[in-house]
Amino acid sequence: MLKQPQQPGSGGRKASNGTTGPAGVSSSVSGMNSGNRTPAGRNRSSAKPSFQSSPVFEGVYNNARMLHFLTAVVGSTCDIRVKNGSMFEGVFKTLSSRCELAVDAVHKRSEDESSTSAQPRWEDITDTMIFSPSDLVTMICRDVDLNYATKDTFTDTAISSTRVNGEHKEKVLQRWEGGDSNGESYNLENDASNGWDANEMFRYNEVKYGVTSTYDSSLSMYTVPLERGNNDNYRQREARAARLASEIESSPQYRHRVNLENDDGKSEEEKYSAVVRDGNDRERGRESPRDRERERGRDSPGANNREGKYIPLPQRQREMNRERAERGSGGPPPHNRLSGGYRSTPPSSSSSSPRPPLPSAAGPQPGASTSERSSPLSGRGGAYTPHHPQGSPSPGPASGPASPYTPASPAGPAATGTSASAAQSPASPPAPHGHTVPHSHSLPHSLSDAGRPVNGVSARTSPKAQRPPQSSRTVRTANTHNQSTATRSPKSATSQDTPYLDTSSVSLPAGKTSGPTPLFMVDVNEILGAAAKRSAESPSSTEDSKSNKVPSVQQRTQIEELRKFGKEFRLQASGGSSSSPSSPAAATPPAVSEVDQPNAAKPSSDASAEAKPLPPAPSPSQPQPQPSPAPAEDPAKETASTPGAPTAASTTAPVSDRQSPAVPQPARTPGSEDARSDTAERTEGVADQVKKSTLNPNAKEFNPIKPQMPMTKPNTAPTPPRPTPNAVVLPHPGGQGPLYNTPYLSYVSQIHSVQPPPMFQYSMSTVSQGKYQRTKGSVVAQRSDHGNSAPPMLQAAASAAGAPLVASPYPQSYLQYNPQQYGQQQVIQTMTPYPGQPMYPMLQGGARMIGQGGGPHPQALGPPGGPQFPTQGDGQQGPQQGIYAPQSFSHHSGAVHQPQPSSTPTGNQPPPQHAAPSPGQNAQSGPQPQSLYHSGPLSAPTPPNMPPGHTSPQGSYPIQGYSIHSHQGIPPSYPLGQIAQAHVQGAMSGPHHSGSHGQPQLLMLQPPQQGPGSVPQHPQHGPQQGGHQHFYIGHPQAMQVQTHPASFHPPGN
Amino acid sequence: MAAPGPGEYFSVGSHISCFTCLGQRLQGEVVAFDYQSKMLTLKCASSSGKPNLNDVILINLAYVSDVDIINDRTETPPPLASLNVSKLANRAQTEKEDKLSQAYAISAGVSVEGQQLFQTIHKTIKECKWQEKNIIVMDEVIISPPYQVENCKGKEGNALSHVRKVVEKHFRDLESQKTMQRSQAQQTQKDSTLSS
Repeated sequence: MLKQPQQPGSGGRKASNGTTGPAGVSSSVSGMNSGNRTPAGRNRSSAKPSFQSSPVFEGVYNNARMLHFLTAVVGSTCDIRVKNGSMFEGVFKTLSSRCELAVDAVHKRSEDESSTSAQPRWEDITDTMIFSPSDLVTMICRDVDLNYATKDTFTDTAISSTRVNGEHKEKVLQRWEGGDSNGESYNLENDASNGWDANEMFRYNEVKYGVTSTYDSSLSMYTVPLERGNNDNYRQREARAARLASEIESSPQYRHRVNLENDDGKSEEEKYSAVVRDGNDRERGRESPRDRERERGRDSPGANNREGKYIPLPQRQREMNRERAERGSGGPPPHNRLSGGYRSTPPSSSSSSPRPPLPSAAGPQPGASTSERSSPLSGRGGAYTPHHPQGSPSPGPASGPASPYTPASPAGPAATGTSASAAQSPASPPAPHGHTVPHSHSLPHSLSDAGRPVNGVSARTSPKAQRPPQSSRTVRTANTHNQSTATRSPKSATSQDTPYLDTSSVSLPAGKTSGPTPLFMVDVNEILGAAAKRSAESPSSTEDSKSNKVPSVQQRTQIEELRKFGKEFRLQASGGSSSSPSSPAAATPPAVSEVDQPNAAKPSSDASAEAKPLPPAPSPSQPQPQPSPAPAEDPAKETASTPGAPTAASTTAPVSDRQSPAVPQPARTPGSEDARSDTAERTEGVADQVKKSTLNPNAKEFNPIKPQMPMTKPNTAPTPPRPTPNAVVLPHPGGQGPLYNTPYLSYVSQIHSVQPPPMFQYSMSTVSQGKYQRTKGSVVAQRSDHGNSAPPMLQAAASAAGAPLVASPYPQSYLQYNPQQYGQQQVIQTMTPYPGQPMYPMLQGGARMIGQGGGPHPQALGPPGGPQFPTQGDGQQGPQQGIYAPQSFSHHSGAVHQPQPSSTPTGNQPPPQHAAPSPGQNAQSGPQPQSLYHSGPLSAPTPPNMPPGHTSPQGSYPIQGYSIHSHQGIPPSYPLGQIAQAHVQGAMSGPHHSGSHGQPQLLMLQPPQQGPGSVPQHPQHGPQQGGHQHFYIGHPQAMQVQTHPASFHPPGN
Repeated sequence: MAAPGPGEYFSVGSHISCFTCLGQRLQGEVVAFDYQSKMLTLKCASSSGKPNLNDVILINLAYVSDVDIINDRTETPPPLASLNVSKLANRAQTEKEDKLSQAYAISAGVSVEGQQLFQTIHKTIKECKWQEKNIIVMDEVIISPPYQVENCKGKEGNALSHVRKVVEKHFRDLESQKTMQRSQAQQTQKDSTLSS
């Protein structure tokens, strides 16, 4: 007994009484206390400290079990005895790390009262009191249901989610290997008996235990037998009873209540499934049986996983529609494709479902994860974009846009990583999906489907939610696609916000998945088996995965992400990662694949294979297939992206909000103008791809570096598109930085314009990015692949689009487009660069980056981009630009400062390769990746805003870039750069906008300096390179930008 | 009051008993122990005897003596299930509001009958609160002292008629309870007489 007044003896009270004045309470309390009590305690304010003070686990918070049980009693009534003997009763609210107990609605109980008999008076209740552990003798919580808050552990979500008290464990789900016999002896339908018959039980007990039942069926011991009479009275009563019974049983109220009582089985499941994503699963399940069957089934698991994530209704519906469409059209064709591409995907799908079982599966997942990551980064928009891309594929004409996809190539870097890792194509698609889980899912499927459909029918692709529209669109025309994308984007936009959140979550998983990347490798291996190209990529992917693995911490998250990705990937695989949505990298490959698919079913498979291979050999192959198909996808993406740019400005706001919007924008842009330019690019791209194939080796080399990047893996997915940009950026760091920076600014501004609304999203993305960052590392590795793939993509696009447009359009279109697209793309790229920043290191490491960066951009692109940006961006984006810039900056800074750079290197590698191969290609690759990313993101967001928008690609880019940046860059930036960046941001943002424009031109000029060798290429690439240049410029600015990022981060945070 | 105790450490799953410095004997299964803060969490059978519930006791070992380890268990404790924190937070908020609401009514001088009625209504209609001495149900019906059916006022409609039914049933149940108690008392008397 310490009577010490103050102390804590009894515990400090928080001054706030609910209603009554604190003083009153305290007085009452004091009164309550024998006087000795610790009046002083009342006034304590320790409560606050307890909670707030322990952000970092410390004290009791380190004791998981203690924390668990004390948390489990939150909200229950507790009796607290303090050392002076007084007892308080209240509602346990929480505890601090120092084990200080916060109790609400506390009143002092007299010693006598053992029960709660005496109700406390209002005046006796203290709103909140905090009891110091030094005063506490015991706290007794009576009649606590310790299972009250135990989460259900029997839903897919609960099972798959491995979070326990903040601890992330990877739980590998195992595929049910029950064999074909589904319990032959277990035919539930035929067994009509409701458990044991009573007589059976009696007999059993008698035989087994010698117990003889005295059961009397008449229940004479419990009731009186009904005496039936024949008199009127009895009949009347009987009739009345029957009437009453029928009345009651026929009343709706009765039925309702009976239903409530008896519907727990299915209804419950339905409820949860409905609320979550069972719908998709179900659909998939249905589908699987019908068409894709096993593969689908696998996919479906993935889908389920995705479903696990919350999918906005709109998305779900879309997916449903898509799936249906796919089912309808794609059934058989898909199989063919599946045989080719699907195989790769199947693994992924299988992996997704089986995740646990096989690495290979995991591999795919990782890929998916990467894609998801990218998608997350890009945001659902990315996923959307994929869809769009898919749709675009049909547009073939849009091939030109395909080149925009090249931006995808940026994604490619990241994506490449992903794509390479797991049948990139699948993975990449997933990635996009990732954000828009539904979309992504659908995308993959759609992609695959689309690809298939393309072969068979475009409609197939559309089947998946987005696909349907896309497919139709795709079929129709690039333009239509653009529109469709636009339309889609709206949807996405609508859903985007939510999607974003989801995506963010997804992205996180993706990041985790990075760890899984190894899985991708497995997939990759499979893919390799499919195609040597793949094999080549796979190595890189493997490397990436390894690198990813290195970061254990990130690995977990990455693993999760990978799983998610895996799921998504599956989809993608089916969809044809080509959907590009997955993210530039993945997307590009996917796009390619898609494109290919469109051309021919085989192509699609090839595409999937290509996606991985893309980097090296695949790209070549892809290009061919892609030409026709690619055009469609690329166009779609590009169109989307391009539109995005123009529209981006207008839509930017929406886009920005949606995050994905950015993607949509890209999609838009690609739509009209870009498509053509893309075609030209594609032609180039093809050549580039070949070159790139050579590049791939480099990519592999980079991969080693990537390991560091694991963090960035998620980013990688997104980054892939960016990679090129990143690569560019890296070069900048090396030397041209300043010039590029200006471009960045311009880009940023543009982006901002587009993204203004997105900013929120960005923040979201940034958050996710953090997670992504982890993945990014892996992604980076992938990126390298992607980079390769990206080129292929580009090539494909070029080939596709190129055929028509390539020759003449190229330069012009590029120039024109470039401005917009580039602007957006660049922005994105800039963004990517950030993510890429990691890559920067890589780039720095390799001269390539510089070459690329310097080469192209500056001159041709730079100026155009700059101006355009200003125009577009300034108006709308003004505010947003600031934000965007931050992201991009953050990425840059983040990348630079953080590990990401290392990851970027991979990205860089690709670029270098590109540069080496051919400037044009490089440029394309760069843009494509970006475009992909953009397209992905943009498509989602932008579509609505910018449907038609020329700049959509750009817009998409920005968005993507943001997303990417946020993912990749942000994470890194957070630690190092973010803060710094944040500071800078304010200043930087301003400068960027205003200055950026002006600078951009300068930058343009500068780029040449940097990449004399590349310069030739650059001209062509101009736009793309411009973006790179921007990046370069960005570096200086990057610092500023970083500040922006910081701002971004804040939102994200 | 120091906490000597045989054990400086308690393994999860072991059963212990101890006396607090206030002379209270506690016994239960160790579910958590924090060496740093010297806090021990016991899980005991519910004091109300309900099988699905437990009493959870947080003990400050600094104020405990005679710690006895009844039996020790070395098995690894089962993994912890994840908790739905928001659910818990909601419960805490709800509990607090309920308690404050009741206290408010009590402090307003509401009769025991009124409090009982409030409890009854609250069981079926969560949306009820005290306003001075009046019970406000669903913001539509006002029940003022002495809380009889005829005291239910409000806009004619389903809400009012429903509340009236609830109030009516409440008092009817009260009556039947009393009669039941009487009859039971009589019954017990009879039994006692018979047995005797």
